[in-house]
Amino acid sequence: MILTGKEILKCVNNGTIVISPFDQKNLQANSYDFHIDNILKVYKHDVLDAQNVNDTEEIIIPENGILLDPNQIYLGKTQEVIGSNNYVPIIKGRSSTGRLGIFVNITADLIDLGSIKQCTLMLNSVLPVKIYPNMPIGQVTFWSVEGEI
Amino acid sequence: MADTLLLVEDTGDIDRTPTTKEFIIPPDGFILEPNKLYLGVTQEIMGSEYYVTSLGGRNRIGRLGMFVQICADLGQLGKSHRWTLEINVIKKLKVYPFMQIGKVTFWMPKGEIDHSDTEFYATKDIPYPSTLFEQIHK
Repeated sequence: MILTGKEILKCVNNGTIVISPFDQKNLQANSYDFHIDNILKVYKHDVLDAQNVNDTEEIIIPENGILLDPNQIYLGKTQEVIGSNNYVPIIKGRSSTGRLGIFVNITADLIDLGSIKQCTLMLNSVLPVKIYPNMPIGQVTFWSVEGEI
Repeated sequence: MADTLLLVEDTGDIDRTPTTKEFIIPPDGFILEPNKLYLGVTQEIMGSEYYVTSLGGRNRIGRLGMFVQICADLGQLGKSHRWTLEINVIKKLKVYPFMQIGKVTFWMPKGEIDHSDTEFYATKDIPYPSTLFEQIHK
């Protein structure tokens, strides 16, 4: 089952879900809007190697934004620390980001139970598009589990 | 998928809204191109006050390399509307008006349901461009 906004609030208040910092205005009917931190990483080489470490370089998103290049993969992270020992978080984009052609993750939207940290975002865009530090870029949903944890 | 598409020509910025061009998919089809972003809309009004709606592409559509939702497959509890489709293709693909394009699933919610907050897009029944940049400084 997917947690409603009111249930997410209850769980944040009783500590079974961590969203930090938390602001009630980001609560939606059945999700919470998160923001992008100002650090991005891009791969240094054109050919990536699936078996070895790929060197990256860090980019700080300036206050006046950065234009995403459609041919690039940007690794970002949520500004918020997100996670739970009881519910499985699933990261999604928002309607507003999807409609700009921004992918917020690439195939890996599921966060492990018990992983409580800033979530990695895998950004790619269909068109050149500007993003800004701390903009509301995605949403996280929480799902109840079945079985021993 | 209804027959109206918007081609997003420019994604906009904090000082300007996205630029789009609206057109109708003719009965004999229209070829979508890679590296372009289109917004479409479902023919059906869909939603529920009791279940969370989620929208995905059909298996047949995925096999043709078409994204129907780029990253926002999730609806809001309580809202019924035509859904904007975020469309991108990997190879050139001919599409037709009113073709079967996606599937909708409904998920059980846990917790108290609050219908008081209406998401902006959930009140729109047309393909509607992003308002993200307008939200940044709020």
